Amino acid sequence: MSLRDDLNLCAPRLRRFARALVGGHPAPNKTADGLVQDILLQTLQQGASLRLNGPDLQIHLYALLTGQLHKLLAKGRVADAAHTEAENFGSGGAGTSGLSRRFESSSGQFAHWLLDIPLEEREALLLVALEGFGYAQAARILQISRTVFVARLARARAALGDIPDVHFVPHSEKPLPVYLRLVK
Amino acid sequence: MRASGAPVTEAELHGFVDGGLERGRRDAVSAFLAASPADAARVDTWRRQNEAIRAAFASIPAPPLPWSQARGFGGLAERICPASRISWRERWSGHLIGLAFAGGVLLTACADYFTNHAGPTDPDAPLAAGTSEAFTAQALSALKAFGPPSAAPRLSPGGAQPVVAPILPALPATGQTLAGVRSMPGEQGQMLCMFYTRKAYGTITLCAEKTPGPVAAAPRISGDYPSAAITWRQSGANYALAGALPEAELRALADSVRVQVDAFDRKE
Repeated sequence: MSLRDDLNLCAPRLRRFARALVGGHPAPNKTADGLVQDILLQTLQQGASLRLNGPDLQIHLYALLTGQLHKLLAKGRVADAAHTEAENFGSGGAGTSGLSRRFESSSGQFAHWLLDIPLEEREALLLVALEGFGYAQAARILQISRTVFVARLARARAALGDIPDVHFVPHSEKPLPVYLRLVK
Repeated sequence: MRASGAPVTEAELHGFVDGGLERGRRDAVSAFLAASPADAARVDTWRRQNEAIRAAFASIPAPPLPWSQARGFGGLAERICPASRISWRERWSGHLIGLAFAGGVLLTACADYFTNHAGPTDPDAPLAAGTSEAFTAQALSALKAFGPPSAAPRLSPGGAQPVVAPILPALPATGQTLAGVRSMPGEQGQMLCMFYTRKAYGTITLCAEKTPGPVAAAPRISGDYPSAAITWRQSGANYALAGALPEAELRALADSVRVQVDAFDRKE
């Protein structure tokens, strides 16, 4: 089992997490997908020198992803793009042209609710609720203590509040780009 | 470890929702919530939040096809990204292997066909990053258009402008039959499709098209059952496998085809 195979197995989940974190919805997102691609290639190029396997590789990838996202955010390159994409997603505007799935407008609202949560709290919530990490693993990914992690999770849940039933209805299909383009 | 009689903390309420508590503390939290409707309502809200988040992102694309699993591996993938695990490997069965072998044999013929019949490639054509959507759509269209063998068009006598290329004899395999092979113009070159019939799932098609571009690209699933297709690039050709198969079987079948193509390459 090569590192590339391992990365390919992780790619869909990483992409899902990145899209949720950056765009608040599962549709293709240039920033999120580019970020995942960069991380996969970076890890692939580091190759065996990483000496990671199993859960450690997974934690490494998620830690890289969240770390890179924070760096991008610090440069101001993510927030505007994310909100624009969320607005387009909710309204069916230009940003939806390449979507593999679209959702009812109430789902677009859901994306806004997610994006309204501060990034540090959103990532805590998504690591647990979406990716199924335990608190200890999630705290390792975010490189914070477990206590701080739980506090962020609590704030995220309080910010999200009581959400009504949302029906996620898939619409037209469009094949997604390949996730890892460096093959041989 | 906290004693089972210790007061319930806020962190434990979150842990209760996220499944991170030991059994003893779970019981303590359950008892606490039974006596505290306000906290029970909060916990219920968090649970609904989790469900909404999972539902919102349940539509994310399927995991990629792990090529190496077909060659056998030590289980590393089983330990990483557990949500990516799929049951298709367990469904691997002899008839699929047989079908894949038949596919491999036919691909040998296909490769020869491409070598001798494929026209020159367009130097201005853009290099494909992977398999194209048009190629996938063509494979699905070919599947829809394929009729029973008795009704399939035949090579017109005298070799005058046949509508479609010759249909090759079918190779029987367990559970399915190779019904024929059809050649047709592809997006950038000649496209060849092999059609198989299976009692339970109708017709399945495997299409291949030699095009300029990268040597290989990872697979991806398009569409949903019963109109799903899996496409990939291998050895400089686009491949598409389409049909009314459950995704797991589609992946397994594609994986076996890939192995056969690899094996063929190594023999060259």
